[in-house]
Amino acid sequence: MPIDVSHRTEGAQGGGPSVLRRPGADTHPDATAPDTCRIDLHLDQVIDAVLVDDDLDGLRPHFHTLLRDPDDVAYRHEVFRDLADADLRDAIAAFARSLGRLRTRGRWTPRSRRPRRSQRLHLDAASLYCSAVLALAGALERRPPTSRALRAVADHMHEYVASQAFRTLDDDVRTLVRDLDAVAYALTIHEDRVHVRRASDRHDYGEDIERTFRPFRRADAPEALPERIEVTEMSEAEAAVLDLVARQHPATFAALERFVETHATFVEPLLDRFAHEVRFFLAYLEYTQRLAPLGLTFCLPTVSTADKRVEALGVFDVALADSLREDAGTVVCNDVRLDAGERVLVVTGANQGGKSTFARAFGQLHYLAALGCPVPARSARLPLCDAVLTHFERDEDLRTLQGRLGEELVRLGDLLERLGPRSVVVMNEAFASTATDDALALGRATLARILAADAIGVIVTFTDELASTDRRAASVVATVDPSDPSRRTFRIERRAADGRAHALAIAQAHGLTYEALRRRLTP
Amino acid sequence: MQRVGIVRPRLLLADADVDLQAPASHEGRGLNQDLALEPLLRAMGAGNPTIERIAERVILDPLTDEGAIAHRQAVLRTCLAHPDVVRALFDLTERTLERRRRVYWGLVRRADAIVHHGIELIRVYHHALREMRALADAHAGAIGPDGLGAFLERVRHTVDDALLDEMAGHVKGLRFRAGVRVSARLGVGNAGADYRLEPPAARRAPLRTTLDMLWSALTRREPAVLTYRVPNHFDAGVRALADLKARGLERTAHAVAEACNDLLWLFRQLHGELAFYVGCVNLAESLDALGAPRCEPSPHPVAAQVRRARGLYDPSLALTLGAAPVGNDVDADGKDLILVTGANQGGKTTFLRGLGTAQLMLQAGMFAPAQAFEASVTTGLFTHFTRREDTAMRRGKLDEELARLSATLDRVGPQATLLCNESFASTNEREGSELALGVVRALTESKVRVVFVTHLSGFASACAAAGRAGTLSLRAQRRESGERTFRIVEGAPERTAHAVDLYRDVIERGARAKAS
Repeated sequence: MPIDVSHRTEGAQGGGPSVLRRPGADTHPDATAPDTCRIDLHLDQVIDAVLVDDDLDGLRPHFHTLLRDPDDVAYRHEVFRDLADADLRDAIAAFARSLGRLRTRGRWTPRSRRPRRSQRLHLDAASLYCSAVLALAGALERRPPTSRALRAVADHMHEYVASQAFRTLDDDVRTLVRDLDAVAYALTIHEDRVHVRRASDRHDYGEDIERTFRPFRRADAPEALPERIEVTEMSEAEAAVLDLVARQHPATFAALERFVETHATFVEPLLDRFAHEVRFFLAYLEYTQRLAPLGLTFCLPTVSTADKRVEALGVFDVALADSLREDAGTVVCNDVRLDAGERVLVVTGANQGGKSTFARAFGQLHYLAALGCPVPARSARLPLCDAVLTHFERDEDLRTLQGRLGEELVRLGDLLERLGPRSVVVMNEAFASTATDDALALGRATLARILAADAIGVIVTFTDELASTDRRAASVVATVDPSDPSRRTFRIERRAADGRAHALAIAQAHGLTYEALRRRLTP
Repeated sequence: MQRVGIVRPRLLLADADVDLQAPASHEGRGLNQDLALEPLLRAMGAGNPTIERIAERVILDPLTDEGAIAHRQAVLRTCLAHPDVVRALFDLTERTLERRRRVYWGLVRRADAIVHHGIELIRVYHHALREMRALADAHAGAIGPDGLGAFLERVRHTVDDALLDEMAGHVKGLRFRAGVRVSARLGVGNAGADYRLEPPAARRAPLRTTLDMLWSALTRREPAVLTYRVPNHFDAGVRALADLKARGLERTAHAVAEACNDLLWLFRQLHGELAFYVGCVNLAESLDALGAPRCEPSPHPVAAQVRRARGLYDPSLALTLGAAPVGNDVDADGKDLILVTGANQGGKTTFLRGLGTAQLMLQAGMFAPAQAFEASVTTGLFTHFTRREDTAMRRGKLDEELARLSATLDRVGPQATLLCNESFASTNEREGSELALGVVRALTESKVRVVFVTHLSGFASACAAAGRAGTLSLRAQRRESGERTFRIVEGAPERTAHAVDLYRDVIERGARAKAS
């Protein structure tokens, strides 16, 4: 239940600066990448893992939209660079968390069934909000950001904190919280009635009992915990008691009523939007840091719309790395390069040699670069793409009547249709269902179309000849490491079996010969 | 008032609480079976299964520190001198635990229910502690300063009149005759938080004085006490008030539950530790009735390699036969290998069991089944008895036997003692002898003490032929006439033709292995 404390405009085009979009960047529309490409590249898993919290779902469209202008990419890169400062990042993360929590608090309306409860929840929300704002304002003063996006936020914050509106809110909150915290009352509870007094002495009888039995207490004794009564809703009786307490502290409770009327809404819309949007960066960084223990690093790539060369070192498949995280597997990193004049990498080689992984990593690299995010590589220089077009083998869909090759050709037709000079193509084992000659012919035709469009890409194929078709297609071969560590050898010792040594052999098996036993018993 | 000292029995160990609830180890159960301790434990229990269980648990967990053994011997001396005091104290703990069982406690976890039941339990413990105080007052001075005397002294000092009065006060106060009075602050959503229970008032204070009502009427201010009544005994309202009460009682319930747990621990621990000593008293009385001798044995340090007995017997056998046993004398000081050979039915196994049982009793701090017994403590007592019932195994017989031996040897260390009874009998004589020689040699060289009852004449005579100073050869005595005396006496095993070959074979192979 969202709290009615701001006029929230969800994920929106509303006025004011945004940390995700450069002001005035709306001149050319962005490309929304289709789902199939994320599924083929396993980026759907990555995005799900980044947006692990439910309330992050509103950010999903931003992970589906590729930026076309290098300056838009730079705008986000600046924010990522600012957030490399752990103090600033922690402060912003805390702020985003606090404002996120306001959404999950209860909503106050004048007709609430438990007005004094709702009023107090409203006050506590305001209190949380004020501390969050002041904490972030302090952090932005101490650690002035350099990005255009965060500088705008800092400027706005500075003004806002000094404003009369915020000062009044903060003062009112403090006074009221202090007064309510000072209220103490005593109840005498009988079966069907309860008496309420003001309380002064706050001694607990449990302490007396503890003291009496201390001589029997052992330091290492397990603790006996009685069940806690978890209260979610305020009962009729509790509300009635609260009313009586309020009658005994009339001024304080009147002030509380006035507070919710005066400060019915208090969250500043721009800050609310910032708190939401900045989680795009925070969530992505948090995800990349999960992979740090595997020795995998991300970097901010250099992107260009003029230069088609690719040079990326230590590239890895993010989704694969994340799935290996738990069993501490080693992730193989590759260097990727397309020199001047080269457009396509043709990958051939052994099965299980990591060809598909390589192709996926290539696609991920370009896709994530076009989000303005750090990419899975040690260093990277890339052309900024406007579409990642993928062609992977599908599980055979029985609804299609064309058969497997027919279905593939239909999909390939769509792909070639969308092909443009800023496309990145990732093709994995196309035409596997057809004869080698046909596959080669189809492969050659496809390659020619890609080259004609001046797109770049990677093609994984089982037809080796494709690798030597065109100068602009560079050949890459996947190899299997001969010293595969997964193959273990057990040394086999040959020994002639003779009947007399039967007992000795059994003793040997149990480590009970003289020599074996001496070894066992020697510390 | 702050009291010093914590009430712990500390009768079994001077500086730690023995966990008596834990079951005997797997190893221990093997020992029990091989040494046939059942009759001994039954005599200790004398019909009380708890005593039997605790006795088993304590005997099968031997002490290795001579100081700890001396502590138990001292406590046992007092108990043997004042059996009535030990039994009275033990009976008191047993009665108390029984009364506690009758107060239903179960899975109650709600604060108000814990307090409600806790009152009953505290009443039970209050009675018991008062009785224990009286017992301590009557005997503490008279029975000396050792473990039991010191415990009774601690009881007199800690469970003083003030503590007993306070306990009685809590039993009364926790009934809340004047209603439960709690104080609170405002928490999340202005709900009550940080509830605290006010100490129960000695007498019911008037809620609303006439003066107060007059004052509020005159000043038109709210009276100091306001009242909410659940309309028409509305059920949910009554429950809500009970919830409020329970929240106020949380810390008190915690304190009560902990007090009950602590007192339960004390009585259980005391019950368990006393059970061992009551068992010893029972056993002493049974042996005395048979005319079987017993003595307080002298423990020696591990390194001293002492093992000397006069009139040593197997108490379990004596109890089973109901007659005074045949005793054996043995002097094995400095010996790390005792080899027992001789005729069947000649008392070899009985001797082995007697020796093992005496060692266990010594290291449990008990008296020993002998006229005199002294021995170095051993770091662990292990047995490897051929188990006839094990023969129908899926695995080969020898394989099974060796697997069991290997598992046992995983746990032995230097100065442990291994009792072997007809080991390696699951293969032929020659192979068995060869294996036995290798194993025994490796064990003795690794400072493990071995007592080996064997029929493997090749093995026995090869050991004898080696002429080691550390080997003691014993034989089941047989008169010229062939009559058995069930006595074990010193004597070399019979030589066999192939013994020397065998010896050379194994030793030389061992030397070759060492050299390579």
